Amino acid sequence: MASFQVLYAEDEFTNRKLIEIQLSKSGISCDVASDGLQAYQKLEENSYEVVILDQYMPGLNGDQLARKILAKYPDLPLIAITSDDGEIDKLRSAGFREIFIKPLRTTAYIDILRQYLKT
Amino acid sequence: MSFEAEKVIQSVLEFYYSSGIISSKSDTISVKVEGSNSFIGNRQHYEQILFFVFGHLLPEFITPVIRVSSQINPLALLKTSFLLPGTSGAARDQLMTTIEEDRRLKKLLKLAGAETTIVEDEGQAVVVLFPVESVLQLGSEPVVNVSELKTRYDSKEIALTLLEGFVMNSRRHLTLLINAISKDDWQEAHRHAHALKGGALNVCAEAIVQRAKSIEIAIKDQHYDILKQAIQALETACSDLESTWSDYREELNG
Repeated sequence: MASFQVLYAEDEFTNRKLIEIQLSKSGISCDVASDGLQAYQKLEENSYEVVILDQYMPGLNGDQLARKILAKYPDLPLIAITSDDGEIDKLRSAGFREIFIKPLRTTAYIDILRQYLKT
Repeated sequence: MSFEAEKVIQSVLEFYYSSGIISSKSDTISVKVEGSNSFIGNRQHYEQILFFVFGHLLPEFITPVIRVSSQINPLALLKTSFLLPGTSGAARDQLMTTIEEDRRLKKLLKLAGAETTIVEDEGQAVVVLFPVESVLQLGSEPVVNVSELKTRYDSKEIALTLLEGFVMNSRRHLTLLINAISKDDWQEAHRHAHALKGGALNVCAEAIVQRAKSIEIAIKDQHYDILKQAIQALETACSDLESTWSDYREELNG
């Protein structure tokens, strides 16, 4: 079992790569998944402190995946990323602790993310 | 839909605001196209307003027209071939505010661009015509705004990585988008349009952002009739990016 601080699931390459690079530069270990199903599989195989989920993904959308994850890992902090602010209520009710609205123009989101890291 | 045309229309709407015809950002803008429902949104909904306008007008090849009036409520002037944005309700009094004729004409000419615009002064109102051929033309600006991309990230390596990744992946999303549309799988189609828009935003490819966004809104609002044309425009922009991206790479490196 591998151990990472963050798991980030996002199907769009540039969004995924950008956050992966920014977290890496900030000294935060990050594993990535390109869809919801892969994210859930990784979650079962590895250890993570926080999971970040994009809302629109193939297979399972962020809110659907969040419900599935929280049913098995109720204490795991989940953070949503979306560019659609009309989805906020849906994401909150799915159990996300934080909701980041894209595009993330600065790295201020990393400070918020750090609050959920144990290491 | 032409990005140039979008910019022109947006500029004209900005003109409403700067001229005091619309008093604040919370004012509503109403758009009425003959034979369709009205669209009413606030000024922050430019894209939806523009989509509403072009989504209805382009398939019928009617020349889009914006009528700007400083003295009377444009909504009171509904005519068959005119598109009439204006304000409603409490903001109506603002339309009674007179602005200087010279200033209005000058600004409209500047905003709309002389090449594709005919301006007719009809006394109380100014009519700005956008010939359909111009609206359908693709903008001449580069697909990627390299100077903006250079300043967006800490290092040029990040910009290059993202741009290269976007170029490699945009064709896949486009193909999957077209496949999804052919199967009436609207959720999947929306997701790929959304992914293209998001990726294009990250690499400052504004022409792709606008086209993908038009498709995203079209799918969401079930305006399927304009998709063929919108997809063609998106495909052209993606092809343009593929054929020119090595130039952008050199520019970023230089």
